[in-house]
Amino acid sequence: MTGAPGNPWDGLAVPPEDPRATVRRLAEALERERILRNRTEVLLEEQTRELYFANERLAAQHARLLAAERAERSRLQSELALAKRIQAALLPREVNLRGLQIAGDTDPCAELGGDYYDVRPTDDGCWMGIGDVSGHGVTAGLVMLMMQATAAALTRLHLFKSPSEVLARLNEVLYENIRRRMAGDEHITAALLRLHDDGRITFAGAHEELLVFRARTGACERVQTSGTWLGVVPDIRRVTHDQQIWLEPGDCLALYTDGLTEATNDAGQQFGVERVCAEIERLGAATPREIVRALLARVREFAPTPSDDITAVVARYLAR
Amino acid sequence: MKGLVFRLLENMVVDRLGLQAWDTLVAQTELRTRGGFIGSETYPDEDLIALVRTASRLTGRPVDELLRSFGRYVFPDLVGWYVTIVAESEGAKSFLMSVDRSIHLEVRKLHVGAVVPEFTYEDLEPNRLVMIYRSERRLCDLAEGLIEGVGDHFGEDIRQEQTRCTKRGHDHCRFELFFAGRRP
Repeated sequence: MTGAPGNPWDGLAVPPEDPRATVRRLAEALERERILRNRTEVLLEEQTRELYFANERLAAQHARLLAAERAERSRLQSELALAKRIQAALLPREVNLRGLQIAGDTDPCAELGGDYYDVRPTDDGCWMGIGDVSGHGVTAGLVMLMMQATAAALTRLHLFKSPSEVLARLNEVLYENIRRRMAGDEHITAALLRLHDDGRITFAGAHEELLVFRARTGACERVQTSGTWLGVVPDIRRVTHDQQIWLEPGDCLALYTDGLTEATNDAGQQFGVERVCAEIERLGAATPREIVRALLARVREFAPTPSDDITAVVARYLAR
Repeated sequence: MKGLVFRLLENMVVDRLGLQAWDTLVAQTELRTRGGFIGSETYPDEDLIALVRTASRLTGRPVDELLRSFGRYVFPDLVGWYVTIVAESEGAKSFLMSVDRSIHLEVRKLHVGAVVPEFTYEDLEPNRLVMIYRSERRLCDLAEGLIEGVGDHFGEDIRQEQTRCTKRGHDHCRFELFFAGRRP
């Protein structure tokens, strides 16, 4: 009906009417208009009221949801804080043994850390471990706890003499749990060390370099580790071998995770292993506790907002 | 029936033929509704049918022709409510296929209590579409006019064949649509 001739509705057109009829029609139209206006006002009032109550209901529902969300968040935060306390409690801060002073600390970048370290005393020294679970947060933290508990149990049983043997068994448990049971893809870089009270250290596993501060020269030596990641393949025995180094009285062994050396500042520079060595060399005869504290303080100063967990462990050999 | 449809009919008659013609139509129709129509209100379906029947009596033209003509005339006014959906359509066919899932969904959101017809589709060939119309109102002539309006809007010729109709005793109306492409 877009203006086409012969539109069926056009037949409604009416001829000009008598003025009295117009007045009558207008009066009727006015009456219809009055009814319409009254109805519109009532409708408007009803709809305004309805909107008001709907708004009230919405606000109440919003408040309820907000409160529930806050409560849930608070509960989760409490549980995470508890998990963090448990994790922190399992990491030894300071261990003094016959001929050995050891200190360690970790600075997780998320609620739970994925870095692992531990010291387990034995009759003639101790077991030490250090590792880093891939990723951050709760999953990494749980894998780290799994690793800590398994390594502690395996070393305590005295069934295996060498780090490579323990590491192979540890890998079997981690592989089974992570790959098969959790269907996860986490992996761990880790080194396990057996420190003896005669200064001998046997170690195995692929992790960061071991730093050995020689008291005699006042310089750090960097010792490569070899092997493979844990939790990736079921059997690592073929590629896991023991290595050995010796500490002289006054020497220090420093272990760390990549969060320390790869901490990056605003200029894009990494903290680097050289700065770690320089700090240890600068502190020289300080206690392991002081060295660990200084290292963590320096890296925080260098990169105030770390993107990875940072761990440092230092052991000083004092002589038998 | 939502008042919007009555308002569109009123606007069409007043715009084309003047207020007097609308007054005459209303005065000669026995309506359940007193006063006028408000877009957001709901009115008896019978009032629309009564108005079109009166128009048929006054003009001497059949009801189905008047409804078809009304549908085609008001489509541009309806488009204004759903600009985005229309703009997103590639052409008449894709728009018609969005009526049930998009347009009617929006109608229900905007007009609480609106009862809309149900369309189902058979998309058989690129230039062919079957639309099955189900509505207790049996206003398939209005739907036919609206489809013509869709063709006008997109500048496409749409040939319609209504192979089934509730007015002929079927339980639904079946529109077979053939899209002849853009008008020159």
